[in-house]
Amino acid sequence: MGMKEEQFIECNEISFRYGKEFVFDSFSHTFPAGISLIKGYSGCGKSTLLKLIAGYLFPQKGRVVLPHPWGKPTKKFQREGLGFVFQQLNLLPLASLSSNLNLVASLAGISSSIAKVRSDDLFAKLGLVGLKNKKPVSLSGGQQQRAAIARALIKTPSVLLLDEPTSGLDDANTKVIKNLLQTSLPSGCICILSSHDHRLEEIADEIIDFNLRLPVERHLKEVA
Amino acid sequence: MRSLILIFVYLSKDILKRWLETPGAVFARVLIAISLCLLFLFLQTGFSLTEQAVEKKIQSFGLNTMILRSTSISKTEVRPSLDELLSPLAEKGIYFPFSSLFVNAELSDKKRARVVIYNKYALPALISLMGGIEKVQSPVFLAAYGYPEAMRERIKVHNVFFDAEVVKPPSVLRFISLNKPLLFIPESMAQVFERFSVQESILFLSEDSGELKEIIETTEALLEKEGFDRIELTSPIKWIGELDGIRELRLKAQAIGGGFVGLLIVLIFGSIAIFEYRQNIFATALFKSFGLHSIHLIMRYLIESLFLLFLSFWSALELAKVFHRIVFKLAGFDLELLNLATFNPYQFSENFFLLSLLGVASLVAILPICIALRKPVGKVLG
Repeated sequence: MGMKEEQFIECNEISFRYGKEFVFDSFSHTFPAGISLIKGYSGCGKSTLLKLIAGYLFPQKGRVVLPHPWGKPTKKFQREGLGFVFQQLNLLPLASLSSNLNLVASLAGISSSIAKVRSDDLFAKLGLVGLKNKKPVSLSGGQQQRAAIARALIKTPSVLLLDEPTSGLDDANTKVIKNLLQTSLPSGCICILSSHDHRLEEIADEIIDFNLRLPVERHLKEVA
Repeated sequence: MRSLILIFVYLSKDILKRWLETPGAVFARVLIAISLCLLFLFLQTGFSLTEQAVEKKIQSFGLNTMILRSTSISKTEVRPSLDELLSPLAEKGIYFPFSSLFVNAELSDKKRARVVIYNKYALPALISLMGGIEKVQSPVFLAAYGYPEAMRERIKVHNVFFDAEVVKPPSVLRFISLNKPLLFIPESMAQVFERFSVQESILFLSEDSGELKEIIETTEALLEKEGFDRIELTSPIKWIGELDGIRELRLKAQAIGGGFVGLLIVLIFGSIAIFEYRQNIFATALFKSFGLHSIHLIMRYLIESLFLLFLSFWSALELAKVFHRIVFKLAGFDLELLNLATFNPYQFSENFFLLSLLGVASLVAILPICIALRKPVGKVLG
């Protein structure tokens, strides 16, 4: 019996810029399995890093190494190995919550029976049982965010990336999400949260403060 | 497969929702495409009908027929005799020279007849045309339908009376009779009309239609050499050239018209598709974030565009059938040519060019979307 290989995401010398301004210049970091929280002011590059890891943006230099078997961000990884929760506009507006989950599950190659069991479990844990046949437009912001997390988790991803998952949510909604992340992450899952919400710090195994990366002038500007 | 069905259902819902939300955008696309298709169909049909009209004219005239008409009407003009000059044509076929008097004859029932004066050069042809010497018992005869054959008819030509025998006219004479009876008078009996103007003409039927072109060229060269510059020559050769010209023009019009239709469709469908894509950009990016290939999303726009264009194409074909007779009757075409039972240019099989043009236009119209879909998800979604 061999030991299970430790999973991690490696960012090697990543450089990325929007226009002329660098967001990252030779950034390197290794994210282990468990929950990592990236905190920092708006514009410090938290969301950009998540998008680079997901393959939604492409670094101008350097590379992202994903855990086995993915290696690098591909379409297959996005379909089967990645769960991503955007800050806004997460749900398909014309599909019910169930359909939103089913669509992602089927793209990940999960059978409909397994998808049903998992979605029922996630809806129960997130308090969305009575809303599963509703369309996103009839839900509150908190309910939509919880549904988006359920959709990211239905495929038991090996990488879960959440961009400001509790932004604008009340304590009750934040507590539900925190509980879910603490209890329902798939084994070996690398979960990276980007947030400036202090309420999430207590569930993080590692906290990375991006403010420390900012140049002094920009830091002062952000603080002001 | 299940995921593809789910995506297809979702995207169909999306299309339907957009149609219901902005029916104007759908109607604009369909109506413009129908109008353009209809214009193109009528343009093509116009050419086809013109070709058919010319073909019919050639068929009815005969591939071996030539008619020469001198447009000079003065008797005082000094020049060689046309009938004598071209008399060697008698060796190549039926050579019938005649003069048309610019005075009509009046039959006993007050009907009018054209007066044809013939001379010795016309006799062999006249006998041949009438079907033998026994058919022409009298030198003055009336070739007319609707009168009993061999009946004697008293005919007045400007105060001069002739007793003419009625004969059945050969069909080839319709080119000179212009649907009127023809009174044939020998030159010897027509001297009383010397002071009247006449038009010298020649009807020639070549034995070999393949030689007609060469005969015409020789005749024209000879007439030019002898100073006959006011001669009107009618022959199928000219119409065959005309037919080739129409066909050539049709191809050019198809290419230019097709290009015009395609370009307009690309511009209209393309801009509306881009407009809708921009409205829908977040949902599209979300799909891409799930790992869906752009091709599936492109298919949504392609299928919608193809569906609308196919619907427009079919509607244009049906509308064209309805308006065919009205439009081309107004354009002056013979009603016989406008019978859709005998010639239907609005069948699918007849319009593959237009159909393929619309297909290509649909593909080109979604090119901007293909380019837009290259934008990374991370730059669209927050």
